[in-house]
Amino acid sequence: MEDLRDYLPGPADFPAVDYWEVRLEAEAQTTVKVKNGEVEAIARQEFPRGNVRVLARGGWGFSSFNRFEEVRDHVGRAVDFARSVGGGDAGVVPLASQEAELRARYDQHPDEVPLAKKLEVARSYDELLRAHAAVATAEVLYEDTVRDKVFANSEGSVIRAEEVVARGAVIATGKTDGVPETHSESYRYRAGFEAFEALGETIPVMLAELEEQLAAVDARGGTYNVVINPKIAGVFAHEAFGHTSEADHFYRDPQLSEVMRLGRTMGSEAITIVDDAMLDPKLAGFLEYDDEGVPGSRTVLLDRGILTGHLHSRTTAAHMDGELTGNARALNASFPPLVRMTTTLIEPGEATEEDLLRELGEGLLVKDSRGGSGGENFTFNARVGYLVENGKPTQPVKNFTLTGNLFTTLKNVVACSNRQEKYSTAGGCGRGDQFPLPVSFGSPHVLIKDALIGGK
Amino acid sequence: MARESYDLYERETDLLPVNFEGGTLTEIQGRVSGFATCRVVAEGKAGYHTAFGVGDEELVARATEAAAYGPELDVDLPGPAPLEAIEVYAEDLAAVPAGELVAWGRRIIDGVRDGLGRELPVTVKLTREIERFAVRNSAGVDYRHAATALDVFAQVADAQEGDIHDVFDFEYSSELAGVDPDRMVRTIVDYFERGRETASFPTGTATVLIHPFALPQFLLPLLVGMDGERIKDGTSPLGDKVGERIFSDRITVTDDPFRPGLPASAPFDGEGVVARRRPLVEEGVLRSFNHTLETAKAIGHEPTGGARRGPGGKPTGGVFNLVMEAGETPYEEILSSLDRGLFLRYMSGSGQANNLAGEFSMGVYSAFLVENGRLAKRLKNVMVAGNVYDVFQRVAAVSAERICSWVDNGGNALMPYVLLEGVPVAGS
Repeated sequence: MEDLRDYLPGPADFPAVDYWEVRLEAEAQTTVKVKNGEVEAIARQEFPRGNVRVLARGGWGFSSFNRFEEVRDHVGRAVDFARSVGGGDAGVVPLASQEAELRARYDQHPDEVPLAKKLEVARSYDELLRAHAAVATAEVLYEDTVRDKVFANSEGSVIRAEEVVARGAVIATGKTDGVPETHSESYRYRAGFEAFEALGETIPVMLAELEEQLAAVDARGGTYNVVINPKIAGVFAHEAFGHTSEADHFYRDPQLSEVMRLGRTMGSEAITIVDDAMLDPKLAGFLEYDDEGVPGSRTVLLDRGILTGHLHSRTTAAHMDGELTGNARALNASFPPLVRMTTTLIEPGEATEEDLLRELGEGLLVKDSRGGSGGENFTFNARVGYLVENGKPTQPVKNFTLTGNLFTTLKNVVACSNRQEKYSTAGGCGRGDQFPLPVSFGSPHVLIKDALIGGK
Repeated sequence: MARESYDLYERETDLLPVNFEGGTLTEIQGRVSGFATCRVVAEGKAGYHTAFGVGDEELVARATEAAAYGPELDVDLPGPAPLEAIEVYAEDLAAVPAGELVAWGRRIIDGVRDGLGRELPVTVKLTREIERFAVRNSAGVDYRHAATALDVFAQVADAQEGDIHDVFDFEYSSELAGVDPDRMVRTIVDYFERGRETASFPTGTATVLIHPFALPQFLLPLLVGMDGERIKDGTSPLGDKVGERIFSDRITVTDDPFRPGLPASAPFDGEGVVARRRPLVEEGVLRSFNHTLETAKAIGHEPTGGARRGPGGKPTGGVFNLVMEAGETPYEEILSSLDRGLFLRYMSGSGQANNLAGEFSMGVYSAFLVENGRLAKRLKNVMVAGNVYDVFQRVAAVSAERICSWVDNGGNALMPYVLLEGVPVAGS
């Protein structure tokens, strides 16, 4: 493989700028899709991408491209853009020079696994899904990505990283009275082919869950006390709270900055939320360095209900006099970084899951999210739920959405269970046109009072 | 398809985004990216390869390698045909200097602040876009097309603990003159003033007036159900419904590739199928699906056009521009006739419910309580949920006015305001 460092411009290429950085990456991706016993597609993508980002006279200029050999033209373009901003007040928090060569972690490198083997495993999962009586259609997705990246900046940092990312999914659709219902299991890990081989173990549980979903009746809308499971609670922590903690949403909004002032009480004592880039090197949200060359870190955002941290880029940290957290991330080198999460976690509490249900008494147990959108007013679609009576789950229900106001809901958290589960699913985080960014989640079960459920 | 055949889709996107944060110009970007994706059918099997800057021959060779393991595929690639003229490339927009976009941004920020009489933070993102794409195939097609677009997003926020009052507007066009910064200022100021007080709505059913921005969010289940892939695999509830009434007869929706001003207008689609104006739902009756060459052939339908190609390789069915036929009643008349109901301008959580089954379940992002024919208060903590094939039976009115809108998963739309009765609501 060619050494991307050979293309890097140097300090002499950037006269009279305050800060510069360059990112180059070469990416190759293989995708295999099998659906209902047929191979749907075998596809391969190979891309070079790069960008130059410059801070001059308080303004940012950015220029991205596909041809590495044109990098110096884009230095000129980015410098021109930055100067055109003219008289801005943007700055960066400086950092000592970083030098690193990061190696990918994997057991079986995807390039060493023949395509025929990838196809064979995908076909076997498709057969396993279709062997189940409730399954009308089955889909299997396999994807591997091998990436070579280099980052350099005006501080003298040079970070070279090799990444191997595995992504896969099994999707089954059944029907109740002709109405299709879909369930899926998926992963995105910093791992090799071994991740796909492990996916097969999850299929029996998923099929049992699909059966339960098919048997569920439509939920009735209204206000409920709820226990939400880790798969939806983790998405809540990310979508509703995590995005609000991204400093580039509020660093130039004095009123919103006041709402998000550190030390404020925002939630009940039962809830602690953390963003942790360094938790587990296998997770999609694991990040040794962000796209500004800042080391990843663990940031406690909400500590027993009190706001204790924000997620920062160099720019937002400079503007707000905050600490660098290493959360400036771009979807790929065609995009400038935004403040983004890594692995977002609700920390476990003391109670057992049974305790939570007992305390709930009457209400709804909500299981798994199909997705959500966040901010102050959030909405998550649940896959399935159970009506809870006398602390016991009874009737399964479906087709409902959990919605609410972030600030109210954080205060309505009653308790968290003592067992945290972590997820690194195939989807990703979207912000603006940058989707899907790899992120992970973790959470215990969470008891929340007065949640608004949208149903039929 | 011949024993060995190929088609290639090539796209280059050149963006010039100018970003203001909190009223301050912070960043100017130039983003150029491109790819070429190739599908080869060799020995009756398909392979896909996507890359940048490697040339047609090399792409075809690499896709042929993938085809050795690929799925069997039977498609008839279109041959060359005359193309309709559609002009969505504006020279003046393509050449617009960043400085002019900066001036537009300042005008919006100053206008909103003057209009509200407060120095609130205003975010403005203006992006000039040039998109060029080409389709070439082994049947002799060699088409190219270019479009310009100006996208302008503006948002003002008044954040208090427990209530962030924000209002956005979005306009886009293939021409500079198609976006009006002063109109955006008036829109933002007007909605902001009407939303000073907040309200919820009791759980039950309500009459809802849907703004053109939210309408495609409600129609998303229709698009999912019309997807040729879903028709082919039998999961769509619409598979056997062509010619049947699925919506109120007041609803007519068309894929119109020839709309001036809409940047997605084009004379051919991602597979080189010649674009045509195509009714999707005509006076409530389902007329068409959104096929790729593959899904159309698989079930014996004619190609529809509207297919999209991305770096992922395999084409997907879609539309150029989702256009709903205007009605006869002026919007103001529809609004003033509504004693009590919901005005839904934009929703959150679109696309998450069981769309394939027709379900929607969305929270309000920008919405108002209508009382005595006026937008009285801003709605908070309200959801609507139901089934499109049910609620679109009860269309009470369609406005005479239409506004440029968009489909959340990509695509341009031109939509009226629609009044629906008996929509299930959850609130407090």
